[in-house]
Amino acid sequence: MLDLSNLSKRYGPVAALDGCSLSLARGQLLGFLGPNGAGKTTAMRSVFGLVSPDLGSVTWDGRAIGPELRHRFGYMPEQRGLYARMRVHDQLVYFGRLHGLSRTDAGAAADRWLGELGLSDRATSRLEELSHGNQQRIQLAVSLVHDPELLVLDEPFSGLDPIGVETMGDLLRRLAADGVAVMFSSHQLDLVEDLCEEVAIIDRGAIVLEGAVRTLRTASPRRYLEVELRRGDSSWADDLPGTEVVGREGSRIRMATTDDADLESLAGRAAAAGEITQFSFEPPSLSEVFREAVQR
Amino acid sequence: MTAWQTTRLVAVRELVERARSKAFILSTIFILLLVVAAIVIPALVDDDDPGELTVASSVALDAGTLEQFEQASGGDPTLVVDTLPDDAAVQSAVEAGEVDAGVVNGPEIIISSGDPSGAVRLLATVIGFEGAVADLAERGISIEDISPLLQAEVPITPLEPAPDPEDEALGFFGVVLLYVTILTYGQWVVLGVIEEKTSRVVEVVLGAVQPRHLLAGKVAGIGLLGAGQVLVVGLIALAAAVLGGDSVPIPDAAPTAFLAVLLWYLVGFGIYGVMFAAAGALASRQEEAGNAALPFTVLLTIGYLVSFSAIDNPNLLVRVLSFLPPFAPITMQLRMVNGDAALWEVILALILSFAMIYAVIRVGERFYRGAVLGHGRRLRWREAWRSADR
Repeated sequence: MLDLSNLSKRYGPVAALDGCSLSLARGQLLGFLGPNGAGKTTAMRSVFGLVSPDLGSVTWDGRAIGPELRHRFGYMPEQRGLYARMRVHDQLVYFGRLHGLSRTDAGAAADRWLGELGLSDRATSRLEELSHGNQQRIQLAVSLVHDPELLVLDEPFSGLDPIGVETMGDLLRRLAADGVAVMFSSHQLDLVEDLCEEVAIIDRGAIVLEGAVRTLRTASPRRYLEVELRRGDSSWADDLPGTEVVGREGSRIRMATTDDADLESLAGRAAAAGEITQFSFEPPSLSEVFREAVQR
Repeated sequence: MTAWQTTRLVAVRELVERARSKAFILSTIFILLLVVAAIVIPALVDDDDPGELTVASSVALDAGTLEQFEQASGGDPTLVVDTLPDDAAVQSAVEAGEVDAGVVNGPEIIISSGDPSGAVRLLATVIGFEGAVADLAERGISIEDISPLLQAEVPITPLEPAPDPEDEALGFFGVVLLYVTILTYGQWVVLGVIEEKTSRVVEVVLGAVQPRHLLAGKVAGIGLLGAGQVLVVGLIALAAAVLGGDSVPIPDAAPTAFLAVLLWYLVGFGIYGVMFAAAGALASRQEEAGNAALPFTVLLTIGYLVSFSAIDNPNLLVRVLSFLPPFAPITMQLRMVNGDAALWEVILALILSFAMIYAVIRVGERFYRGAVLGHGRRLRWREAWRSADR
């Protein structure tokens, strides 16, 4: 279990972290969200000693994280980077050994991950000879080669094509299912909603919302009503009390309302205007929850 | 994993990856060619036929004259005499450039133009001497009787033994080799640190390794690679000299000089490698490597220039600098080769240098740690020092 507890870090006048607390259990896949500059990267770096907080603590299973524990963690920074001229297999073996694997184990792990990522035939290529997408995969393999108990990925989906995104998503899900504590930051909220059961949202250096995606959505008093009629227009919905039109397209209308809206009366008004082909009443999406949480 | 294991892993990576690089292989081959050429070419030149002084003569030069000349010249050049019927024939041979000089009646030596060469002067002396001996013999005085008088010269005693030209050459090679090797591999450290920083791989590495172990491993790996190059070059030089046989003399001081270079290279790299690494961490682009390392390049160059000015005769400045760590590697090495340094002096210089290595690791590590994770423009030393607290 990873615990960031009440972390604060200032850079001159800027508070990068301001009482940030967060926990992540083994087997959990946590989406770490926040606007640019909210403190995501600083929080992640603090796990690896790349940032030393002014206040607060970072622990793994209750123990302060030192160099030895860090060998059991994997990290993929937002700014990707490896040794451009080093051969791919050698590179994986090197990072495996830096994390405490023996030469033999590191070699076997490198083979396994290259096979898994479909890059076995590139084992002796220099990294710089690989395509951008394949370099990304090697970067991922570097963070995984020592079978970490905790995996922290900063924007792992950025720069990936749709197939890459899917492969990465499947892999993260599988790692979590295997008991790895996985945490990643992302701006692609739809993706996070699909992938994660849990998210934490950070803003101005502190966690403003944390929990299961489903719970966070339903916990909001806001609801969205979407109605489509077979014929006619959407003028029936004008000036309905307690609602606000947020989008319309032909006879299709989307309204913001609250969880105590009188659905029966709303449905009656719609049915009077035409035959209903779609009527949905939903809590806000993750990105709507996000916008509410960070108030921008 | 222990600190030692981590440092060794980093060092081995630096060593292996760079030893495989084209830059290293080509530079080693280039240096080897230079060294072998420097040893073999003079030997080949030495084996050449000794020079000849060709002379046309209308006067019969007797065997005594020829023998005297050979003795005085040590066989180089040898004297080749072409006896012609008269002075006119000799003069035209000289004018036509067929011979180096002509001996005509008188006897007198003629040359085509300009100042006479050393060999021609020698010939003039020998012919004159032979004439004088013949005159004396006619007067009943034998050369044996007066030869003690001919050596009426007061003795000259040097206060210090003359510098052995071979030791001088060793001192010269040692100074140049140390300077060039520390500078070259120091630049590799600077560039290696900048490369890790700009490619951002340093963030991945430092997620698993402490900055001081990365720093120490990098300096050790690149430093040992340089030591390996010095070693290979030294062994090949020795092999070339041995294969060359008698024509290539191996100076007696060569093994000492070689060990002194190796020792002071390692000590020097301990000091300069760490300083170069800290300097590299401040830079933000490869192009800034030279500027970043400049203060330390200047320090190293001071030791080099001071040594260079005193290769044959270590002066007071060299003696003083040979104890001061940033300058000691080159200057003390020179004094050791010259046999000018007492054992206690070497040991004292080593102790001071090790203290300096400890200090630069402590201080350099802080600058390195503060700067290597930064990005954006080049950092100032003060900024790096402060941001070490991250």
